[in-house]
Amino acid sequence: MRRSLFALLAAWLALASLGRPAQAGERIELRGKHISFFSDRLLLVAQATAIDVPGRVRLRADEIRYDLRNDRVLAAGHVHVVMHGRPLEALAFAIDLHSGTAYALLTDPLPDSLKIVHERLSGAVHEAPPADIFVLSDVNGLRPWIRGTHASVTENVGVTFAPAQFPTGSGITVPSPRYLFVFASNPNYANNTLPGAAFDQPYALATGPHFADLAHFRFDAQHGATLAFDHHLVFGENTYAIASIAPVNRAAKVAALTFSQKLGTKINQTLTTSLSWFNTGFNQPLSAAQSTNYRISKALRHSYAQLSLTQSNNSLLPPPPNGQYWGDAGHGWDPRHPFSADLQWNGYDVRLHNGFAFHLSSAFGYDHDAQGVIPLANDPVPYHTIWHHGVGLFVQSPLFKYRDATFGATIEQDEKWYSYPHRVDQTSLRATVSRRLNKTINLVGTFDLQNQLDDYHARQFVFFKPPALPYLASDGTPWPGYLAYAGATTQRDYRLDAYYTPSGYFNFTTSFQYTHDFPQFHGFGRQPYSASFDIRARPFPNLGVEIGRSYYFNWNKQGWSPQWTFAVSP
Amino acid sequence: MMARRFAVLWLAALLLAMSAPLVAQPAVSTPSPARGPIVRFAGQLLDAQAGFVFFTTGDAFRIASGARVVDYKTGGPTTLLPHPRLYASASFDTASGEIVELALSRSKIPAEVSYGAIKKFAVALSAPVANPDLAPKNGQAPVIGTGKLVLVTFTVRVPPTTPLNDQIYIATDISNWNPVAIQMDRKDALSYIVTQQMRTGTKVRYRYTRGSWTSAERGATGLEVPPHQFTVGIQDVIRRDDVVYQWADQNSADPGGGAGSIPTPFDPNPFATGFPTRPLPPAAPPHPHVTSTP
Repeated sequence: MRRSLFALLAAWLALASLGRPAQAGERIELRGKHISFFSDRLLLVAQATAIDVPGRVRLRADEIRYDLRNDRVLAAGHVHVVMHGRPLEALAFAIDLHSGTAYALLTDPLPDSLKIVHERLSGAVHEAPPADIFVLSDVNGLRPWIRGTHASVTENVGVTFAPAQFPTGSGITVPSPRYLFVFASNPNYANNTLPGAAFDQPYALATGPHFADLAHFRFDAQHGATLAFDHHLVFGENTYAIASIAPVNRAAKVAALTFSQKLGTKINQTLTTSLSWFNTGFNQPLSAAQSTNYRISKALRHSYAQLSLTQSNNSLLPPPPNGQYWGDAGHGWDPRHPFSADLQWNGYDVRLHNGFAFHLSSAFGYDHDAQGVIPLANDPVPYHTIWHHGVGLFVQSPLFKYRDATFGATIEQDEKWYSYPHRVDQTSLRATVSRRLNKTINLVGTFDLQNQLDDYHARQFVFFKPPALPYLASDGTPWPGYLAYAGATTQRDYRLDAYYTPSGYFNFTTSFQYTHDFPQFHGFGRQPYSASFDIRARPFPNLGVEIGRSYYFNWNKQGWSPQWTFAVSP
Repeated sequence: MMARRFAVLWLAALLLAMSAPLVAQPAVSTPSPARGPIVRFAGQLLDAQAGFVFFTTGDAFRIASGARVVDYKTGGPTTLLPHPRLYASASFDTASGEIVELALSRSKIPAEVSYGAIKKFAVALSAPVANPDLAPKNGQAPVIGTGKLVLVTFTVRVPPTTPLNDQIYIATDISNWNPVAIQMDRKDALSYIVTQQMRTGTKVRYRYTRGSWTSAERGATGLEVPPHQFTVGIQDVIRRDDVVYQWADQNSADPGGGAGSIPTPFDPNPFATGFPTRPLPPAAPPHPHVTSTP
């Protein structure tokens, strides 16, 4: 366990020492009486303000505008410039921070203009500025997403407000001691390896030219309110690494490290290693497991291939005294160290003349475990290595139109065979009909069928309990239907969605779904009937709000779903 | 008597007709104390200093001695002082080329004459070329930041492996790369659609997700692709049609993936040989058969 933690840490330090990216940025401090951030323009507008680009330029002016996307600063009104230690008084000043080219308007005593190249005042020449260099984009009447008095900009990465205020338009502002907005064109500063959550609010801890440290305040139905951290290292456009730990405030935690690198336009490699453990405080962990996956993908002419290697250590803890678990039976000790290798091939869609399309896929690989891939309880013969191969076919119909309705269907059939007598047969069928009633209402009806069969041939009832034995559900209720479950699973969905979109500012969605699964039993499995609604509105141009909830028709004594869907976005 | 009345009416009509062009051309009038006709130009101010008014064109114009600073809407005195961000309607005396009146406003003022009509009065002239630093790069459209709202419709075709009950979102750099920033609506079997209002000049980079970055889109090659991007132009409507070939959390190259590819309530992860990157769903009923692989 400790060794694994050290290994993760060492890997991280090695990545961090790889060096600066090509597109390095700087931390630029902007202070002013009022600073407004317009997220759709990526524009900072500040009054009575000063900006400091360390080691390069310091500006003080009545108004400063910082175009974050184009990396340009425009100052106007009583501008005081200090550039590499040399002062300049100007009426207006515009600088492109990327190229270092600047223009200044002077009155000395007659109007004049200077062009400054490479931020060197000594080499300034009298030259007329381009006509659009001092244009202030029109923000009158627009409500900013954030207001503040101090903004710290990491070039090409993000801007941090400390403190930040979010004006809502109703006169109320929502304060926050600190807020980071990542505007990098490279999403790797913000993407993460955290699982989805109903609510996830990142919070900046630190940002730099090639890194971002974020805390995440999260909420999901399974864990409740949790806290997570992640650290991003970005090396240009092609390489990044993400370390994360979540949830910090729960006993069961997962730390993960992902490294991804494009080795060219057609080849990519990804290394992911994760460590999951269960402990409270600084107590001895009751369980710990680790796994590492390496994946390399190569684009071919009309397809791509992928090799995936996975090594897992199901337990990093020493054998427990009772040989079965540490603490309680919920933390079973598993001595296995399985390894798997898969070589996969996937064809691109092939379009046929009649509008149909299909693609093929295949896989080949093996699973290995020195302890045996199949538990001895199922088969006393130890199988240390089991090979597998599989093929798949996907067919998509064209969209058929009849009056105002549109029909479409897809079907996918996959087969996988193992060197042990086992075959997996999987079928997916989806048919959809959609109809637009008018400009604002759209109806979509869907039938979805998924079927999976696990066929162990003569040993079927070794893996699936013989129907002769009684079976009780976990609540003690007899469950006769489950006895029929001997390897085949079927899920059917019948769903109707209605979308009402009167404008870009408002959307109402309601859905009704009926599921008919096998096996499905009272309280277990998916609810047969559910209805949901979702409202999305943009009451103010800079604020979007979403609210939604589902109703389960008393399935497992549940009426309304326990959680609301609630989201706020710029 | 009748003839005299007719002559007076005729004279009045003639005078009215002669005065009509002046009414129809409000940009040109002859208020005192200007020596020549007046031309009014409206624009955004950079500043006014040392007897000059600077517009955001970068050009300076001399202010006449005794020039008035007034409120644009009322025409009366104003407490506003010329400073950056304000709009101004400058009345030029075409004889002297000086500004004889500066009407200030916090909101945009409709144009009366083109800039070309008064550029000859500029003391310091800007070059009639675009800023090379803002020149379109990589074939992108130039930035036109008029601020006009434009309807942008995003339509995406998702892979058929997209779970039926999953939502599709757009994550953008103008929404902090929030993976659930813009939720889309189902259009048909494999298409989702959403319409947003964006302002001209907005450069947008975006990527489709299913609610988290672990389920973000991948390209046809299974590799990560650069974000989609476009600049909101001056059109009334913009349509973006995209295709998501794969999702990051799905491996379409694994046919017949028996390992839990249809997780059932009875065995959410029936062949759990994979590493536990995600906690399992809440406890399911006890399984009647022995879990194993394959």
